[in-house]
Amino acid sequence: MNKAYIIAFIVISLALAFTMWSFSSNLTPYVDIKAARKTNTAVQIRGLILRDSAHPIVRDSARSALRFWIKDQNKEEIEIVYYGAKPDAFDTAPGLAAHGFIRKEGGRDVFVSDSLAVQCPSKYNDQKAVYKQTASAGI
Amino acid sequence: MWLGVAGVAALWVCLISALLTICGYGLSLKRPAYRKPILLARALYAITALAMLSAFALLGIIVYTKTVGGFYRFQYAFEHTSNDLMGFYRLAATWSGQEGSFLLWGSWTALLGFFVFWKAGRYEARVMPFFVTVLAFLAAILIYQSPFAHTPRASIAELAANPGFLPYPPNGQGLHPSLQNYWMTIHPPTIFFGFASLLVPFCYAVAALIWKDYEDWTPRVMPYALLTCLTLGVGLFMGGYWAYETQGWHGFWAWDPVENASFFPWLAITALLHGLVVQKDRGGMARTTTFLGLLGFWLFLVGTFLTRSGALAGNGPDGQMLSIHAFDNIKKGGLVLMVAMLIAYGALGLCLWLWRVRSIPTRKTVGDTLLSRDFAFFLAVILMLVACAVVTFGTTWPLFLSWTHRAPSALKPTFYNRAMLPLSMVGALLMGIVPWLAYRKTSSETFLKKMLVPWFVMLAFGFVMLFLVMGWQRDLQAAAHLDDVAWIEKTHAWISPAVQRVAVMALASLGFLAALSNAMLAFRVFRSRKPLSAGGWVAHVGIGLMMIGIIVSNTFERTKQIDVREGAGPSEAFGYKFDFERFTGKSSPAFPLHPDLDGTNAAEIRVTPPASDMVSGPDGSRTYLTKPRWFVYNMAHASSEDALQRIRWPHINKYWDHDLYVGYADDPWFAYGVVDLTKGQPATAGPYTFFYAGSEPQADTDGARVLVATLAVKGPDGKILTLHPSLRMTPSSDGAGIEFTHVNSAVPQLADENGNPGVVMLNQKKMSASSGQVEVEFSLPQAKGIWVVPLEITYKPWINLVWIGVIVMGIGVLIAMIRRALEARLVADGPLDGGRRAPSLAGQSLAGDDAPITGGERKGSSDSGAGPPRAKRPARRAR
Repeated sequence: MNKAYIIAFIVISLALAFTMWSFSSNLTPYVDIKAARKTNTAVQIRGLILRDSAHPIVRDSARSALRFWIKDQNKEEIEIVYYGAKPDAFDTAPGLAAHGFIRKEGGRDVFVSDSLAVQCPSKYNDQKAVYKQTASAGI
Repeated sequence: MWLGVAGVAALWVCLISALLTICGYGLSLKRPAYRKPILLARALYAITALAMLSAFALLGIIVYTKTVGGFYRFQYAFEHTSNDLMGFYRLAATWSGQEGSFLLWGSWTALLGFFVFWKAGRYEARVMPFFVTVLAFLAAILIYQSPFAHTPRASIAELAANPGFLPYPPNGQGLHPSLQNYWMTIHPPTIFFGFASLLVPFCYAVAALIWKDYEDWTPRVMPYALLTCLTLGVGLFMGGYWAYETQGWHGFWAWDPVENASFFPWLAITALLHGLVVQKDRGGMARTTTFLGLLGFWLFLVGTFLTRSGALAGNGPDGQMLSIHAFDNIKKGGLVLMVAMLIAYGALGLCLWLWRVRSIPTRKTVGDTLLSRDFAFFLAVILMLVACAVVTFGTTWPLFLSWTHRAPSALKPTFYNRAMLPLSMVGALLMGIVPWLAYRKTSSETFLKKMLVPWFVMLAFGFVMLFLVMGWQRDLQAAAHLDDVAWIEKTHAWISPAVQRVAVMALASLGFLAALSNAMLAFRVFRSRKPLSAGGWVAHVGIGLMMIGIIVSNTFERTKQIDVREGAGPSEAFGYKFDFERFTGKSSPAFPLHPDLDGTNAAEIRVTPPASDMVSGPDGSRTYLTKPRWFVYNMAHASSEDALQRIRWPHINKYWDHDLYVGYADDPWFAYGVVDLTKGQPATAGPYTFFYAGSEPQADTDGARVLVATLAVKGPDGKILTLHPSLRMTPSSDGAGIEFTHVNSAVPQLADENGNPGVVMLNQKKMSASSGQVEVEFSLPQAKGIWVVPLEITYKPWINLVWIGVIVMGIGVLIAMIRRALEARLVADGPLDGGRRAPSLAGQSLAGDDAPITGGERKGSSDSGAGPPRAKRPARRAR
């Protein structure tokens, strides 16, 4: 057997083993908020961003965080504390997925997150053509 | 309207003529002695290619002219351009959509085809039939997914029912502002040229396998493979720089599926290059190189399928979002054809390869000694293939997951970083030592002696880096006072953070070794008689520099959020002071907190750099302005319903050794003066006195409720104004709450020195008409509100090394390409003299070369075996 193939084989198997380990350690399950409360490992939760006056979207300057509320498919609501700048598409995004974990803050649960995946509004793709003269610059 | 008809006709002509071209070339293969079939085939190819190009040109005209008779009659123009789109973007919008980018791919392929058949010589009839099939597929996909579709006409009933209705839309949906960037004009054409050129190695590999010609194809295919490596590689980084400039997350690579889909073909084609070099100069490797030639193009098809089928676009039932820029609007017919394409080329390549693999001659050259250049190249090929497999796996696994109906999970980008770390370390080490290795055999003594200096310099570099990273880590611990941040840090750590840092620094040091060793050799080669042979080494220098840049700019990156408040003095980050200068937006009177549509709007922030920065402005002042953009874009400006999105673009301040990246942490906001009023009691705020006389609900013409307040305001000049700021209440779109709109809040009588009217408005949150109390927010001359700008400041050290590395790599690959193209000329034989075989092609190609190693017969007898790479050695290809 050629030495080259032996070495190649070793390199490939080491790399594959390492990749599989890295893969399994970087896989975070999507769970609902209820399940997120029960675990203390990092998870992903998904839901719709709430934008009404009872659920304000605010910047928490002291913590360098963005605070907002989401509602998951079970209609459960939770506040998310996201450490980072507001993502570009956040304003128009219907929903998002957040990576992080739940902890107590002043007696209630908040979801502390370090990364957000913001859903692009599908409206942009399939908006209905309007056959009417519209003012273009008005806000 | 004839444009659309002509476009569809061009696509049909392209499809039919492509099929005929295949027959033409088939005939000429059957009767190599006759000239006529091949001339016919060429003419047919010219028709095919011109048809594809004219379809692209027609779409370009449609997009550029936008409207027909004042209306957006073409769907593509409606979807990708708009009345206000100007300049070159009017044209660049052509390739901003699904169909347009298919046409761009097809057009580059068509153009490249002329060059391929011109240069193919004896190979013409073997290569071109396969080449043309792609044009046929693309034409067929575009016939299904037509870029020339018309906008549906409004029905008679609709027109009758709505007096204001027009038969066709008068405005288009426009180009997303992040696409209205100068890179839009150059990045897509570059990267699509790279994609199109992947086809050439594929066709040559197919021809080589069918006609069992495993040697001749190498010098011919090499310039094309280099061309792909160059355009795809540079194109990828153009995209990265674009993201860095506009996306605001101070990075340039996110392992996004679309990025990956361009990256894994690049890895395959670069592995092919290294295999070809070994094959050309040492023989053997033909099994590997033919496979890699097939793989590159096929992986591109996989990537195309992933990013265009909607498989990753996040419109699945679980709403998984996987990519920020995947297309997702392909129709079923086009999708079926795309899958057919994927299967057809995959099956063709794989079956051919499996059929021939046993008959491909092998030589036991590689691996007869481990300390040799060929073995290093062989290992490099393996490494790149593994890296390619890792990235492909990471990108495609959500598909497998959805097919097996497992619970969805998200793969963090750290997966790629981790998986790539050991691979890049071995790769960088290989690049570092390969210049000191000779073909066949290097004596370990010579090798160690030659490597002594570079090793020591590298170790010194490594220790300096390690020292820096330790100091940086102390800083970080001091900063990470928040438990949450510490916890998140911990979840990101894998091995202990210290080990991780050492590993990362080791990679930077190995990158340094690679740059150093290759620079030393490149310098020698440049001074020799064959300077063009330095190309590969120069490219390696670029990769080495890039590795250092990537590691340092990410590991030593520091980010801090600050609020810059107007008139409140500077805020500080990393020694830089940031002070509010002004906001350039033309504020609309009722909402000074709203940015407007003007893309040049910015919050201008004055930066005072620390004393250690040796920078001074043009006027000798030490401060300068940084202008992160902030404006509103209507995502749906052709729709009745607005979808306003605030666009936040960072401003990058470049220094020679770092970037100061100024992005927004959030939208700037306007802090109004506030005064609480009780009915019947005057209250003062600054130089103004307010008097609240009460408020009453009214009904608007459309039935909405409006709360109209009556206020009296006495200004510093003693004049009294009566104002009626109002709140209009409408049910919110989801029906769950009430949306408030401020009405009548502008006070033109009290305008500031720039003519901007003052503002007095009711705060809807603290509004209760019955209790007779309101909170009023105001911004009036001499009592103005202030701007608050939340910024995210990032300090990115050594980031310029990344871009310098890319440029150096590009130059290296370009040099190598020129050299290989000159070499390929030597093997080109007369195009029409049938099967005449140039005597000992490979030998001839090298006769004009200098390589002492491989004579025409590849005996390798002339290899000296001495360690030092001599200047006259031909350059090996670079990643």
